Amino acid sequence: MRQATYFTVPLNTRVPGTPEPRTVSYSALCCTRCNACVQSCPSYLLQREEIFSPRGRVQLLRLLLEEKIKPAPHTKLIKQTLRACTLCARCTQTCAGQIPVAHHMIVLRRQMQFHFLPVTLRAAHYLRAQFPAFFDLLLGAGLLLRRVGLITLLQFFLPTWLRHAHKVLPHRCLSLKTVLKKHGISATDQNPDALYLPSLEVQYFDGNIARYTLKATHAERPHILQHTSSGLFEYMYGSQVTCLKQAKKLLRTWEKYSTAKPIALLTDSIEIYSFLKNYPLLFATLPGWKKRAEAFAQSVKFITDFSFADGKTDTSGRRAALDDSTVLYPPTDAAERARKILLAKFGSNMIQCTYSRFPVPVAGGAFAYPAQARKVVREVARDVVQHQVTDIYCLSVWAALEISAATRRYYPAATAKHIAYLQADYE
Amino acid sequence: MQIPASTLRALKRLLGPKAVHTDEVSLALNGYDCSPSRHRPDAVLTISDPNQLAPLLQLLSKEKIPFIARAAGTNHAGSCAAVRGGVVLNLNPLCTLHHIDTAHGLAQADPCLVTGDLQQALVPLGFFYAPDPASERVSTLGGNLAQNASGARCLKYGNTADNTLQAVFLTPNGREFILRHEDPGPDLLGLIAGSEGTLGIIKNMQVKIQPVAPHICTFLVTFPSIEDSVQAVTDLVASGLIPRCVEAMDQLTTRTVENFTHAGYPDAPAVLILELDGLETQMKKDIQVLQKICQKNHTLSFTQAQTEQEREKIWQGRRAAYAAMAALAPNVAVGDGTVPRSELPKTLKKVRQIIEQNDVTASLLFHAGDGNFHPQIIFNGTIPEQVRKVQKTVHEILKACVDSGGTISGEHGIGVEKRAVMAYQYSRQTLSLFQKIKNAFDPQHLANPEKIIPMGFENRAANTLASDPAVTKLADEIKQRYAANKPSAISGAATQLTEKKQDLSTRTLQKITDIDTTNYTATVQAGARATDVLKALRAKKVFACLPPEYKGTIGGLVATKAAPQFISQLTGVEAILSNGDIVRYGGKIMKNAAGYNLCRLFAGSWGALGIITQITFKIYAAQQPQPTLHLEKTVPPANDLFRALKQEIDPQGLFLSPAFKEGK
Repeated sequence: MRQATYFTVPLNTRVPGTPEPRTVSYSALCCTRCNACVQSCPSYLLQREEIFSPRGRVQLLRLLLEEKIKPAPHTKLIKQTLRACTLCARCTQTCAGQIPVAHHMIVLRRQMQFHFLPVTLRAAHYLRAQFPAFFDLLLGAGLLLRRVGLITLLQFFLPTWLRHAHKVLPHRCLSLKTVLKKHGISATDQNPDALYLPSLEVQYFDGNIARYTLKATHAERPHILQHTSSGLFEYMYGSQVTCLKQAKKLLRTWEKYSTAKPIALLTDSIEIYSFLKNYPLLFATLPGWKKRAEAFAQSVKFITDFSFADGKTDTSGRRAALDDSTVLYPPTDAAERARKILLAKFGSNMIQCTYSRFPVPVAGGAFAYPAQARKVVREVARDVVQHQVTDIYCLSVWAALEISAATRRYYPAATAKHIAYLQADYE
Repeated sequence: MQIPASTLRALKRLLGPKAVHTDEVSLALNGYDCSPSRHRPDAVLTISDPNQLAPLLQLLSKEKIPFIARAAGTNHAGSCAAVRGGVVLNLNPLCTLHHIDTAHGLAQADPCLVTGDLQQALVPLGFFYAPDPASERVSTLGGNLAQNASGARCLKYGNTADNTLQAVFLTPNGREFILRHEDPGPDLLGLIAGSEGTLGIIKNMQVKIQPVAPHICTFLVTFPSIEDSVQAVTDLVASGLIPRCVEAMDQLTTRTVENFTHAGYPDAPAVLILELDGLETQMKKDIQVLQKICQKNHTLSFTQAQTEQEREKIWQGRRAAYAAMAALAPNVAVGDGTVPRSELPKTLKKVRQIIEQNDVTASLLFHAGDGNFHPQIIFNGTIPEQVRKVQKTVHEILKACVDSGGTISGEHGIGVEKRAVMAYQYSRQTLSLFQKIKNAFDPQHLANPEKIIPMGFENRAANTLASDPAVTKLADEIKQRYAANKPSAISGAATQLTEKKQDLSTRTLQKITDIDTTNYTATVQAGARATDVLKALRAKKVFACLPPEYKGTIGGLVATKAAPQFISQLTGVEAILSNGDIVRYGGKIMKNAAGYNLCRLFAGSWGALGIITQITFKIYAAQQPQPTLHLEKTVPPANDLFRALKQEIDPQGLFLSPAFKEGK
């Protein structure tokens, strides 16, 4: 297929996790338009329009590649459909040709150089990376406003994503350092025995997660990489150049501490985890960096960010499993219901979830498209719980809440396994 | 064509500004289905309230804008392509399941309820909806009815048309009709089934649901040849045992599927997946019968699924057959020819030959019960040479089906992809009747235009050959009357008519042409008395769904719809129109989605549309429940749709009928 001229980056990206390596353009061509994917797509089930279906997205990609549609007059619509994709990848599970639509959407997002997040959120991310102290100040002010109830008053003037965040985020903000200090975990930058890259929510909204996760790994002297970016955000929403820059920075930091022997890099975000694991693919075109990334990827470990209710302590002392996990943490009604039934179903407190087919990073739906995510959240618990307990394809705290209805019929074909350790004393 | 700005404004006022899409992206993404056809519409309208439909159609009719009703867009024949532009109506938001009434065995739903969702809703109630097209997880009830897509269970439970009890139907000018099979006049519900949205739009549906049998047993049986496997199915039907579904695969398909899913299929020339359902005590006997029959037909292996997991595993392979092929190449072309069951081995052999001659790779799976087979040809759509090759292969396969007395479509429909082959399957006269039906419902040709009926068929299609000299004679007589503009009043045995002015009788057509105990169909001329037919069937030890107390002719039984249940048994019909044209539809095939269902058109038409000369219907090896007989004392007056059909098919009103007292 002739490559469209307006794509600045060559489209011969290898698609990870598919049966055989193939290019994006060939992959888009493989869509037979059978529509088996459509009922598994949360955004389609909400919108019921072809453009919001996985089939519509692949066909759109194909039309753009074949230059049958010029993107310029339709940027708003294309942006809307690309943004509406929650990247949950369940369409791939139902697709006969295993077309990784979510991956293609990431490629398309990046290659069309769109800014997929609301301006305010992008600004917030920029501040976090560039001026962490100022960001902390702003956040503290925001939380104070929330505590005195002003946010509720102001909420009609807030951007949608912030209103959404206001509803779903925990009502407290403890500094990570404070919590760790309180519990006798001292972070160090001298000969640490592990690096810890906390997710955004851990950094600002629940330091307790960090406490439990670090305790579970028995890290004596962890080094906390606060305000350090993995490059995932940039990878998902725009510039590959910035993404590579961030990734190189993280690699160098790890190498700095791993001179004697490689130390573990812990993260509690499944998205960041799978992204870091895929660093070698990110550096595919840079052989030297690729080799370094391979060594790095070996040392990446996942620690569960499952949190306990207030006032309860982890009495079991059980070591939380590394590597694969998912959680339903935020104490929303949906998550609570889901948790209860999962517990009822699995008395032995475990559900398995690993990605065997789709190891590309997946994230961002809830923030990028809060209006949809909210509706989805309402439905997720019911479906996860009633029908899909053994084969949940949950990606993270947020992604778990993004799952929509009417997909249970498709799961028998899915090979996804995924682990969430629910502690027995968690009531 | 461009939609005028004023019309767009009116559409936006009617549906809301967000429901009208005219951007290039939306248009391009609503111009395709599962087939290679791509045609962009001029606008896409999202319908979120069924009550918007009637005023919308009125507006479109006023502005003469063609429309295409689109649901899941899973069609394999290009039925959703906007060949003449116009607007695509995205009906997907209409997906509410209104209610399930287990006491009366019905469910009411919007047309775009996903069939699989209905099945899921019925599971906890212990009920099921019989049609199960392979795409049921995404295809919709309305889409299934519009294509008459029925799936594997139709051998036992009938096709989608039979399982639909009522439909609220909108004609292209926005008039609403409630259609039921038992309504007086032609079975219009049966007629719109398989019409591919060319006659109007289905607004609401009531479908039949039935309790799930307490026991379902699944078997995986292998045979040394396709012939043996088909013979086993024939023997099974002959033993009076109708399986819930019979799916079959040839060796190449089995190997491909096995490589893909590891479902545990043995490597054999023919693999059958059989499912029986019924009461536990009966099942034990049935299984023994099945085992004996399989042994008689040289079965290589006979496995019964013992647990639900095993059953699931067996089906998993069959369901993955498409995926297994899709994993091999970018594109898959799926055919769906249907032939009489007896012709299946011969046709499949020929199809394999065609596939080899054209040097394409294809798997072959078939519903052995109803003679419907699906060649799945893999190719790369970007290589024009391959596309041409595949097109040639598909056309040759379709023609082979027609040559074997079959049809070019069992459930996928005609759309634009198979339109050309229609002129090979049907005669000029039959196609012309299809055209008249379309004209009657949609004189402006707005509803899904340019589908089903081939362009310029007048020059390409052959004439109908009469099945019998007596039919030719009758046709000649009618031709003379047509030339002289002399009306005729038709009668059979005149058992149901109160007026005694009949001057044309079907009593010259009394032959019982064929009682086929391989395909289990009987072909009977219309003038034969029902009692004589029953006698002949009894002599052959077969049964039919005929009321024993009916004294009239079989043609009369159909034309007056005296036993509505019998209408669903019809598989073929031959008739003479008022101008002496002979038309023929169907035959010994259990499924036919090619063209409008003429059996349903003539059923209940009281001789107003044509003279039925011959019918083919299903027969059984076991006693069937007797249908109830409704003998009408007075013939109810025709409704507007029936009138429109009469006006189009017999404009001079030459066929006098009690349904039309005034002649026209």
